[in-house]
Amino acid sequence: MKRNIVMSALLVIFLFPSLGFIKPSSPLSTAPIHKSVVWGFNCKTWYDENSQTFLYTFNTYSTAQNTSSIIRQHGYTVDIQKNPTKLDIIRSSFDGAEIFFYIGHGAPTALALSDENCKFVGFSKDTLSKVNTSNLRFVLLSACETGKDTNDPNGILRAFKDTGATKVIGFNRSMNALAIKQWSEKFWKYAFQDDMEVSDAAHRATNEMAQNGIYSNVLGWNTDSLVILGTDPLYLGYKPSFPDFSQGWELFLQDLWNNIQTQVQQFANQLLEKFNAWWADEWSKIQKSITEWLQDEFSKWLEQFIKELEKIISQTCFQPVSMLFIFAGVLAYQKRHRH
Amino acid sequence: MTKRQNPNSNYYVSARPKQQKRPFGCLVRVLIAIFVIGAIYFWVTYKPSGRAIDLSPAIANFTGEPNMQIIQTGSEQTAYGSITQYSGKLSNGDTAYFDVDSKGNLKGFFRGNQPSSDVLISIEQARKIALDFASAHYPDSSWLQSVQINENLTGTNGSSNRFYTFMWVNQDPNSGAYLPQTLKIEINAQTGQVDSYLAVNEPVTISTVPAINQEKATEIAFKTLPSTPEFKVAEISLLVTTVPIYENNGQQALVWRITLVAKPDETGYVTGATIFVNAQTGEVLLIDPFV
Repeated sequence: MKRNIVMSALLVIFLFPSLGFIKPSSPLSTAPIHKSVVWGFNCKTWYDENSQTFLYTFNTYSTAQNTSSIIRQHGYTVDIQKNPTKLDIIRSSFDGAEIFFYIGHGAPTALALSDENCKFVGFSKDTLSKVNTSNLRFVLLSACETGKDTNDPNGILRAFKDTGATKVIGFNRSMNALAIKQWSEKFWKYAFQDDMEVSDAAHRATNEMAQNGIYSNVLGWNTDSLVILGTDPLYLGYKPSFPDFSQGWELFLQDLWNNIQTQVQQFANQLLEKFNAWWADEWSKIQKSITEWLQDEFSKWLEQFIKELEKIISQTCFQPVSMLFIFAGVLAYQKRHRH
Repeated sequence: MTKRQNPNSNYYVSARPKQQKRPFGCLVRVLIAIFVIGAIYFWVTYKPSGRAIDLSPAIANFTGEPNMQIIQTGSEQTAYGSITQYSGKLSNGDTAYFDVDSKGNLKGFFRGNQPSSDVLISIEQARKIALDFASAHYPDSSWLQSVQINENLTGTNGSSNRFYTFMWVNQDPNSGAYLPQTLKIEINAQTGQVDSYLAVNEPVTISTVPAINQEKATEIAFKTLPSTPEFKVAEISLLVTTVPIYENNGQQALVWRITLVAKPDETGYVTGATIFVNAQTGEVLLIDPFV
């Protein structure tokens, strides 16, 4: 009985905080702790209002999912959307958000979203003014020409900076889809490293892309065309500090509860990511070994079979006596069956 | 002691002894559970600490600081193989990041947390710093003198990061193909320090003479896109790179890189794509549209 009570108590202590992770809006949790918003789109072909093919591009939603996983591991909840065009969805998406990451098509004065029918819908400075952006700290617009003219009063990058965000990043020319997808994933990998300021993370990602040499001969092309607005340093890595006891018991317990939730959430996500990475690695090794073993065995068997066949052929077909015996045997067989 | 009777025997069978309590059984299990969870936690979150004896010789030679404390922060795959990443503090307190390849050569250096919003040095001063640095650190600087330096000051469009970027790219003297021998140095326009150094120095193992000429490659590229809107060539280069394009640990190949762009529409959206064509076979390796 006592043992059951102790085990139950332990279960409650370790599992209860994760209820907040599962249901951020439940009365058991004080989440959202830190919120981020990630938008991608999953239309390969877009259509204009006459249902004519508008442009071809790549699905960026997979990159949005990959980066959401990284962001989630570092103490942020992620509101991930594909094709968010309705204003109420956009409003609730931005509400309380500290980070906004968009990967998709863009232009100097707007982001190009798409609805569920892959029809083009613009997200301009006007749309931005209708949502609550008071908590925004960082914005990354992985889209074409979003930072082309930062002095343009209608410029979308300038509009995001004017919301009060500490730092915003865009690009000043057209970006290739695969290049920007790779760059974005590299950026988010660096952005949460210890002591890594976001501008430095962007630089590191750019340098890493340059190691592949696809655009190394063209200065200022593609991922070298960063536009960064905001001079104050910004660090995205969130480490919960020890609760402040001087504010009273209630606040202290609330902070402690938040910290436990964050730590458990981060730990669980990291454990899952590590396990997935380990299993993917092991499974590919197993697959490779099986394939190699099968190939080896089959090669050996085939080689042996051919040798034996050659042996038989050389010992029988090319010896006249053997040929005579075979011929006689065939005749006898036919005669017997004829009768 | 109580006894119970075995119904099949006349003999008494001693009762099962009363189970003795194990006073610390539950506590031990709790401790074991905490230990296991703690072990898993440290396994997931552990980062190795740096020791001076682990210092890569390439980094020591590069920085001139043999006693610098560095830690290994990870590894990455690139087109030309894997690189190991390190970070550490320079003697002046700056955080530095290093990329070293599997042969022990330093491929990249980056100085973090630097102010760079003002332009306090001229391009001539920055160029001299870059040239001196290149001569001192790039492994094969013999060709640097024979190529044009690409120069740029970033942030002229309002970006808050102001750097002078200098780039050297080696070219084949006959075909003009860009080779995988490049150097890029960024000088902080505010502090005058070298904040970024990126070196690629791979030997060329293939022919640099294309079987498909520029006109044919452009024709192939145009065929990959629809006829409307009307596209024009924005950029075309012949380069030695690795295939598959953008992927790691690839095979060297001579490739035409052609970028086709249409006029922006009334809302400012630009349609276009970069097409990679194998310069020996004419095969379209990749179409990478504008996002």
